[in-house]
Amino acid sequence: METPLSHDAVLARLRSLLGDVLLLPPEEIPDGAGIMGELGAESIDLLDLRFRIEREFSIRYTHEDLIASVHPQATPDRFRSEFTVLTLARHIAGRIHAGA
Amino acid sequence: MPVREPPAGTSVILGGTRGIGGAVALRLASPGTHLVLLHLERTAEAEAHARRLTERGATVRLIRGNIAAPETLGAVAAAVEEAGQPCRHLVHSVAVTTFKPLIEVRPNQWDLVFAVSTRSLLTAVQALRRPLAAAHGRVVAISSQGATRHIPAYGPLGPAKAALEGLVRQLAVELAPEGIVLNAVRAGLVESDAASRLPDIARGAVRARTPLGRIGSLEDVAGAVCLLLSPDAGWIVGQVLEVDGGFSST
Repeated sequence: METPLSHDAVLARLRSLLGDVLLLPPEEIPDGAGIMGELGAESIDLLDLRFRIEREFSIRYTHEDLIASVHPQATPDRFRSEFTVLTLARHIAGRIHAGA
Repeated sequence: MPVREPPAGTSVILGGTRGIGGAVALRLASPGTHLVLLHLERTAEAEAHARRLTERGATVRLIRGNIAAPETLGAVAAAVEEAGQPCRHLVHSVAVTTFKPLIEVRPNQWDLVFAVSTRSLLTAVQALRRPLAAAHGRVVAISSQGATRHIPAYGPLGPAKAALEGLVRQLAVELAPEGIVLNAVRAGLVESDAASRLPDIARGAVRARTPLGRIGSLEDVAGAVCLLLSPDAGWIVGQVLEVDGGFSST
């Protein structure tokens, strides 16, 4: 059975995906950076990111999953302010370890 | 004389759970019709739409997936094969964009818009080529006025729709000898989620310029799509039908 990716490995891959989407060097993407705030991702970038997450990690990742990475009932304002590289990486890692 | 309806079979509608694609599904739904509908989001809404279609006598298979991913169209093709009926129709009613000036678009955004809104028609026809050819199936793609004129803050979607129309024309000539017929409908502004976000002044400007004096409805466009899907359109190949209440003639 394949060992699930470590949280650090997920974080590293996610930084690479974000770098491709937002034309940023992965090493210059802070863990705590707001994806829609500091990094400037737009709605279409979130769609692009979801598709890349699905391909990269071989999981299904819906719009609801993105929201849930902050909180399932997160308001748009809360989502925008709390949707960071780290929260997303933790959510993806959790999904991988849950086998979903 | 009413438009002739084709014999029952399978109709594939990419984006068939809402918008123009959803309205086409409603027009096609009848006893003996099998509908394969692809959607990405809003699963509850898609399931509610499927129930409306089954109430009209159709059988429905919902597939959720990214249209730009090869496995998604593989699932659509598998669903067509499982249905075991002639694949009479393919409707492409899928698009994404970022609403901002094109000059501000990043490469990944351009790529995604084209992958979803344009390239997916080619890959869908490739995936369904055999069943469409066997059934002399008809394909209709939904284009928009952005294909031929500037629309403010339309992002890459104008070029993507222009490319979609070119793709329809090219494939129509290549595939007609196999019995697969492709056409497009270039839809004007219709009452939809996207249109509802436009400022009143923009909607008013469209209404003022439209000879029929109103914004179009989803059903207006669905009717034209179904005409092109019907045997009565048998001699129409590789065309783009403008469906806009006369806007483009002014």
